[in-house]
Amino acid sequence: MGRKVDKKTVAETISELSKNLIDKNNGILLGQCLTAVGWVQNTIPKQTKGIMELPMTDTAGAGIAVGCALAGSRPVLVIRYQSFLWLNSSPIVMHAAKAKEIFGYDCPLMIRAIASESELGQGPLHANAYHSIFAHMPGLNVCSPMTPMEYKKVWNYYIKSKKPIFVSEHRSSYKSSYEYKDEINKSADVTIFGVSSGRINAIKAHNELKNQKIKSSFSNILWVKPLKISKKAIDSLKKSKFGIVIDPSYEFCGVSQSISYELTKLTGKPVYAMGLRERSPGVAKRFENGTPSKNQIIKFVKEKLNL
Amino acid sequence: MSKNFRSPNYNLIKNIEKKVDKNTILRIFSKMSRIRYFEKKIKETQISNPKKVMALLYLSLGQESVSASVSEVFKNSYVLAQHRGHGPYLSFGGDPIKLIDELLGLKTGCCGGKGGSPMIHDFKKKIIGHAGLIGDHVPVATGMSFIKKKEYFVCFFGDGAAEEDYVLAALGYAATHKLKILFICDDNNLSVLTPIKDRRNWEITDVAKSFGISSVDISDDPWNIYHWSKKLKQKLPALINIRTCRDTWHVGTGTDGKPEWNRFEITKKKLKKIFSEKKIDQIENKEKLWAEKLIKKRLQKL
Repeated sequence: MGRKVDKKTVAETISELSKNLIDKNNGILLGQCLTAVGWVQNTIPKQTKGIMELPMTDTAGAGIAVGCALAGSRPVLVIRYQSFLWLNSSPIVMHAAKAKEIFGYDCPLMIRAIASESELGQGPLHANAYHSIFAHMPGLNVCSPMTPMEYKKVWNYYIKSKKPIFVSEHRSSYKSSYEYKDEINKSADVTIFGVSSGRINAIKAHNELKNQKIKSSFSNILWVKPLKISKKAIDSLKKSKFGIVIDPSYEFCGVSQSISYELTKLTGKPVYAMGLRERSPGVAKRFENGTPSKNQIIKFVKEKLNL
Repeated sequence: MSKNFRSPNYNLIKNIEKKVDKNTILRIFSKMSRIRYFEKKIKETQISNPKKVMALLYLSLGQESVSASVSEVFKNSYVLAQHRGHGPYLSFGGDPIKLIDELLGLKTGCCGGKGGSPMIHDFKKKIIGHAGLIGDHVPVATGMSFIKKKEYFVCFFGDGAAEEDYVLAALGYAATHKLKILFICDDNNLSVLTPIKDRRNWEITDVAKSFGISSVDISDDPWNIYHWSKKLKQKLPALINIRTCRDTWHVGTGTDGKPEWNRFEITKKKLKKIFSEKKIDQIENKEKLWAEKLIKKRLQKL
C-alpha cells in the first residue's frame, strides 16, 4: 500500500513540526485538553511552552486563535474531533478566511481538524470528516495530508504563505510512516482518486483490481482547494472509461462530488463520487457509516465495466 | 429591584465637570461633532440619492460621546468595534477619506468597497475590522491581547452582543489572563428593536464582576466616561456599560421619533456654560464644514 521512506510516523512528524513552529516561527498551539493524556494522539510536543490550553469555549476559542494570528503570531488551532467544527467554524470562515479579501490584511491560521473513522463504536459525534463545508468557503485552502512528507509540505506552505489553511487530518494516518504515491497505468480502464482516508481503501481496491487483471490507476489528492491533481493522473483519466473519487466526508454536496464534477469538466470523462451515505453513524456496528470500503469500490468498478 | 437605568444622569458623579481637564473635554466635543456631522451628511446623501451611498448604514448618531471620550484616554491603543463602528473609527484616528470612500463603494475605501459600513478598519492605526457577526470580535480582541501583552486594547460591543455566549466566554478568558482590555458596552437598550427587558433579566456589569472584572454602569455623559476610562485603565481588564441612545434604526437612516435624550445637545449646553457660546459654536461649525466639504469632494469621485 505504499513505501516506507521515513521511520517517523505522521504523529511524530506533526509533533516535531509543531515544536519547530513554536521555537523558530513564533508559533502557538491552541486547543482544548492538548496536554491531557495522550497529547492528542502524540501529535503535540510534550512541553508547555507555546501551548495554550483554551477553556471549553469552542466559538470563542476559535476567535481567540484568530486574534493571535492578527497579533502577529502563527497559531495552530487543534480541533480534536471534526464535529466540534460546527461550534468553531464562525471565526474561521467569517474572519480568518475573509480577512485578506475584505480587509486586505493577513490572518495566518492553521486549523488542524481531526477526522475519525466510523468504527469501533465511535458513534454519531466522534466519527466524522467535515472538510467539504470548509472547502465551500472562499479564502480557505483545504488539504488532507496522510503521510509525513505530505505533512511537511503542508507545514512549509503555511509558514511561507500567511494564508489560513484547513488541514483535515485523519486518525488512521497517525501511526503510519508510509508515503503514498500515484500508480499510473497508461491503459487503465478506471482511474481512482483518493482523498484523506479514502486513499487507504482506494489503493487497496486498486491493488486488488490489479490482482484480478482489471487495469486501473490510482492518484492521491492532497490539496482539495485549490485542487491539485497530477498531469499523469489527468492523462490516465482521459484514457480511462471513467473515474471515481473516494472521500470520507458526506457524498452529497461534498468534496467527492465537487472533484468529480471538476474532473468531468476537465476531461469529458464520467467521474463518479463515492463518499459517506446520508445518515449519521451510530455506535452499534450495524449503524456504522464509514469511508467506502475496498470491496464497495471494487463492486462499483466491476458494475460500471459490466464485469 | 427596580432601577431607572435609562436616564441621562444615571450614576453621574456630582461636579464631574470639574475633575476633567478643559482642553480634554473640548477635544472630546470636537470628536463628537466630527462623528455627528460626518454621519448626518452621509445620512442626508443616502436619503437624497440612495444610489450613491448604497451600503447598509450603521450609524453612531446619538452615541458619539462614548468612543470620543474613551479615545482620549486610550490613545494609540488597539481598537475593535462592531457594526456600529463609524464613531470609534473616527475617534481613534481612522482615515476619514477611506471611510467615506468605503461607504461610496470606491476602490480607495478601507475595504476596497467590499465591506461597507459594518466592516470598516484601519489596520495601520490599530483599528481592526469586524467580520459581521455581533460580538465575534470580542474573542478576537482577547486573542490579540494575549499575544500583545504590553499593548492596550479597547473593545466596543452592544447590549445585544453582550448576550452572545462567546462574548461572555471571552470576558472570562480576559479575566483569567488579566489582559489589558477595556470592554465598552454601548448599551442603547435595543437589539434591532427588542428592548433589554424582553431579552434578559441580568446586567453585563454583574456578569463582569463575577469574573473578577472591574465594572461600572453609567450614562453617556462624556465627563463621566472619560473619568471612568482613566480610572479603570489602572485596573484592566475592565468593563463599562454605557447607557446611550441610538438616533437611527439598527440599520439605515430611519428613526422611531425622538430619542430618550439627546447627549449631543446636553453636552453642548453644559459646555456653553463652562466656555463661551461662541467657542463651542466655532468647534461645532468647524467640524460641520469639514464633513460637508469632505463628503462633497469624495462624491465627485463617483
